[in-house]
Amino acid sequence: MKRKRTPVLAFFGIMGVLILLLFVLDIMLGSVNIPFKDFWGIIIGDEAVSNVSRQILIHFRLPKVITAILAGSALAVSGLQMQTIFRNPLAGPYVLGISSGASLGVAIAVLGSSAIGLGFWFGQIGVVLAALIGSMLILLLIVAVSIRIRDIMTILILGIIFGMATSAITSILQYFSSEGSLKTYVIWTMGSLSSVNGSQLWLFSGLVIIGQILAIALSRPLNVLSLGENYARSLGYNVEKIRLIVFVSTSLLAGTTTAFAGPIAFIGIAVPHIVRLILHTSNHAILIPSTLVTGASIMMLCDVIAQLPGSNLVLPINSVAALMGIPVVVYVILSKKRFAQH
Amino acid sequence: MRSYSGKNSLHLFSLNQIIPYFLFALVLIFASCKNSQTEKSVQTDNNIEPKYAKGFNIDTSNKKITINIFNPWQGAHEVVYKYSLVNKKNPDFNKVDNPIPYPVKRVICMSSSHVAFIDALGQSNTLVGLSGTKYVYNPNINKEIDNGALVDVGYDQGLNYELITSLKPDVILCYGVSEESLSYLNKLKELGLHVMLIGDYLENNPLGKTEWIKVFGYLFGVPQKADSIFNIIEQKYNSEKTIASKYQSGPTVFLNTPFRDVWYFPGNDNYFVKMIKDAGGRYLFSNLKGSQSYPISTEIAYKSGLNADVWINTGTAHSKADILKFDPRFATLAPFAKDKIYNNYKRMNKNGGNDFWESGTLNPHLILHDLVTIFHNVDVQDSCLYYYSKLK
Repeated sequence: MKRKRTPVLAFFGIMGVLILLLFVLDIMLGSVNIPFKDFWGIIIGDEAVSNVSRQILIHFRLPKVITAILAGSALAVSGLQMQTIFRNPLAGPYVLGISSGASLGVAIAVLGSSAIGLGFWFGQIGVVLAALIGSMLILLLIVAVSIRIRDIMTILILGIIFGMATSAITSILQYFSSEGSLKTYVIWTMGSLSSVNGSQLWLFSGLVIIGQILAIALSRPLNVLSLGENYARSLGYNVEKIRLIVFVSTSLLAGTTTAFAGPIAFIGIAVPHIVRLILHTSNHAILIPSTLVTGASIMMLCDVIAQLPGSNLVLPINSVAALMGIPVVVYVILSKKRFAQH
Repeated sequence: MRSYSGKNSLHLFSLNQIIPYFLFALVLIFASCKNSQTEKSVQTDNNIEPKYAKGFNIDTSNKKITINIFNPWQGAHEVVYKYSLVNKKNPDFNKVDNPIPYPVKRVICMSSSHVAFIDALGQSNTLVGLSGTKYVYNPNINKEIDNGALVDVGYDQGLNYELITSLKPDVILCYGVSEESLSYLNKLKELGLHVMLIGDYLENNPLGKTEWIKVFGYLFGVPQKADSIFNIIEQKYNSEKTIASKYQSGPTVFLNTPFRDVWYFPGNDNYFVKMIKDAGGRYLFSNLKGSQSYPISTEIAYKSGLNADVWINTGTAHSKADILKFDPRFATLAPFAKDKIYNNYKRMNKNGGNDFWESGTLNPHLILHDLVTIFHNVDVQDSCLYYYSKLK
């Protein structure tokens, strides 16, 4: 199984430098031009830095970069988990219908009042809560199903069907809602890293860190599971229980990310493949941390591109991520190479 | 359905208005033998050329009334719709371009600003159908809705065609958002209904929007009344502008609220930006050209708003707490700390229908009065404002 391998230590060394570099780049570049001396001044605690630079760096750029790291790593790791659990190279964090659930929650919150007179509007935190509740409800449904049904493919199909059902309801809400709220909703679906701030960031990072700890703790069971469910059972593993914990971890990772940053496509599918292509390993004890750091750095790179440095505009992060991720997914589909685990 | 004609386009108000139409007319003269030079000069005295509006003119030559509507949707280019107002009993009724029964007695409206014009002309009893009745603010119209004389006909793609047909309207007043959005008009025309496009919302001059009341005046056969209403409003607007011009320096003005991390700011030619300038305010994004809105990143918007004097039109935010729900970072903007945030939500009905968008088109002088009051007074009482309220 183990072919020529890029030394793992070298990989993490390079990724560490890359993350640091992208972190500085993402903080430095944006629509408002911030001189490097202001950036340095804030780091060394110089009081003379202009108020505009300080406000933008601390209140806009820093939360945005942290969001990018959290979102990128969370989506990538949950994508890896789903690919292993479903033994499908095109599975991603959203196969369980998590993003559809979140979308329905947001649709009810944002479009509900103008469409059916039932909605509520609590501003940004209301949208976050609605998305969290929506994705958690879908997760509960999946868990309830997975307790009764042992066949993983049935669960996959049900996840897709639940997603379709929520999309249908979302479409009805869109159809009846006013232009203003429709715009708010559509812009939510395009994703955004820069609307997470202050106290939300604590909640976001807390939930993602719990999800990541679960994911790392699951690396050994996932290794066994990737060799087949029957093999895992014969070794005495409780496959259903592992699955359940993976679902909880994935929904913490992908569900919270969708709640705070909107649905961001393709990062979750593409990053695990990039890591496998570089490291040629199927050991989750290595795959999970490397997917985590790669996801974080690719998300920061996407954000640097989305900011269109030097312009007044920002591209939707979802579109940039899709344009970055699609070539990788196409490569995976076209490549003759079989999926790494098999 | 759409006629391209420069027939009535030569006699416009200002030189830069004339040039494009003149060139356009020249092209047509070369292209068509029917449009002779003499025909045009005969009509000079019978053309009603608007003073501010660019989207229409009215031709009353040969005892006929023709309303020409120009470019009635965003991005329309050299499009002219000719509507002929003809008595229904006239045997020539179906022989003219886009006939509209004259004077109109049964009207369906797709836009709330049209409702304000109709009510101002004392014609609200002619309204039989409306798009979005629950958003109407006008008490006269609401009375008609309550007693069932006026029904909701649906919205855009969800129009209730059967209901519309059964209401037997003389005319359906519509607006176009884009060429593609006009498909519902064709459907209405197929049903044998008379549809007219009204482009008041596209005007880039506040008084140009109001001037569309002249079109409504002709539709209802009360052109003098429309003229006198317009003249009074024009005079009030201009005197308000004169008052504003006496103040030495105006405040810097910050606008709108963002959609997540994108903030839309209108360009310099936008009617509302013109009103800010007429009220003596300094618009913070006056470098943006044209009348369209531009998506601007939150960072740039935040940087500009940080030291702004006044913040207006905060959308769905009706209190300072609402603003913090959008984004707590906005608390650091100067207008937030100085309590200088105002929104146009004072006149709203229980369903969220806002009179600012309904009668504001008719009353630019009242909007301007609000802006002048907000811009040039330290402490503004809510009772001094008509459409605006301070965010608390």
